[in-house]
Amino acid sequence: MIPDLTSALIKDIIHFLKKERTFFSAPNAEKAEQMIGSKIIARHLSRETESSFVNDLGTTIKILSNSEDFSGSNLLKSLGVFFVEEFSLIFDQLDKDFYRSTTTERRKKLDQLLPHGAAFMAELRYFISLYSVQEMTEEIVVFLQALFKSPRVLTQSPIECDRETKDAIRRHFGLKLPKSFVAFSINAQLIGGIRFFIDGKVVDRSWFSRIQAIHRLKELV
Amino acid sequence: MEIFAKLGIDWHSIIVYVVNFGLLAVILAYFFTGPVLKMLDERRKTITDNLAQAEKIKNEFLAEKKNADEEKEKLRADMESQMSDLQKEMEIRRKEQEESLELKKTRMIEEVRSIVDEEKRGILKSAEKQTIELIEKVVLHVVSNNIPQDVVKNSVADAWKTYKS
Repeated sequence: MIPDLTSALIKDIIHFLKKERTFFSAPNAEKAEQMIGSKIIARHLSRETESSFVNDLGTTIKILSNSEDFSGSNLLKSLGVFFVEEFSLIFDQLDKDFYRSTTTERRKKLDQLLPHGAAFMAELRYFISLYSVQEMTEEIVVFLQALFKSPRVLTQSPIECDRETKDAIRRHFGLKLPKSFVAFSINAQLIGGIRFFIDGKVVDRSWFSRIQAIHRLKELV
Repeated sequence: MEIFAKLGIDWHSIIVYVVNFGLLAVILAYFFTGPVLKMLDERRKTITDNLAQAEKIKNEFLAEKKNADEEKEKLRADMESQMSDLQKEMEIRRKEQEESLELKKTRMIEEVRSIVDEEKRGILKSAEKQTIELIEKVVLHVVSNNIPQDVVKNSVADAWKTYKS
């Protein structure tokens, strides 16, 4: 997924730069955002110089070809930040109804959520419509681990968390563990409450754990 | 001399009287005085002997009495000493017995306390176990029946608030 998205992104950037030849001397982030579809990537581009961008582009292509250390590329880093800060807001809007709907309905929804942009956004829409939540999350988490050595954060709940709770959780971990992508999953076994897996450590506030605690207490007494 | 004659005093009578008296004195001296004196001596001697004997007896008696008194005093002292020792020993034994009783009493009280504590612990444990079993039953009953989605949703929000804080 990541190499395809990166290729699409590079394609969009080059296409944009062909149109806006004076971009690096007079950067216009809004125009870049309209083309690419991401504020963060557009902002990153507006801060680059022509030479640094070209060097970075070369590095990025080399990394993608050889699957080398991702952290050497600023473009890939900006893509990582895009996933953490921008994409997560869209991703959280994709509820279970979205994944139960048909491909056509999914595309309609995605056109509403990701309206502008060209190749990059199209590729993103494609992957969202194709992949499951877990697959997409896994791709992003692995990418971020390679880029920033980000910890894995998984949130389990007995039913799907509402948007506000998801936002609050993402904001919290955005401050506590920057550059981490919180994955949400449903586990009916929890019955109630919530459970977190943070880089291998478990914080269990579920009702199931309380019932287990009562069992253990009964065994001890 | 006429005076003496008027008084009736006759020198021939006087001489006769004196001779008579002298003769009497000699006879008495010879026949009575000696035996009487001897008797008196013997009597004196007897009396003296008796007195000496009595004195001796008295001294012996006194000596005996003194010995007896000393013996008595010694015995009394002995007895007193023994009584005192006996009393001391009784006192010691009394104290020992009191201490022993006190110790027994303390041990018994401790035993009773530990038994009571043990019983209390057993009762508490049993009550705790029953309470936990009841809680488990109630919780399982609640979760095995359909829990309203609102309740589950609120539980997620509450758990998140708890974690955040």
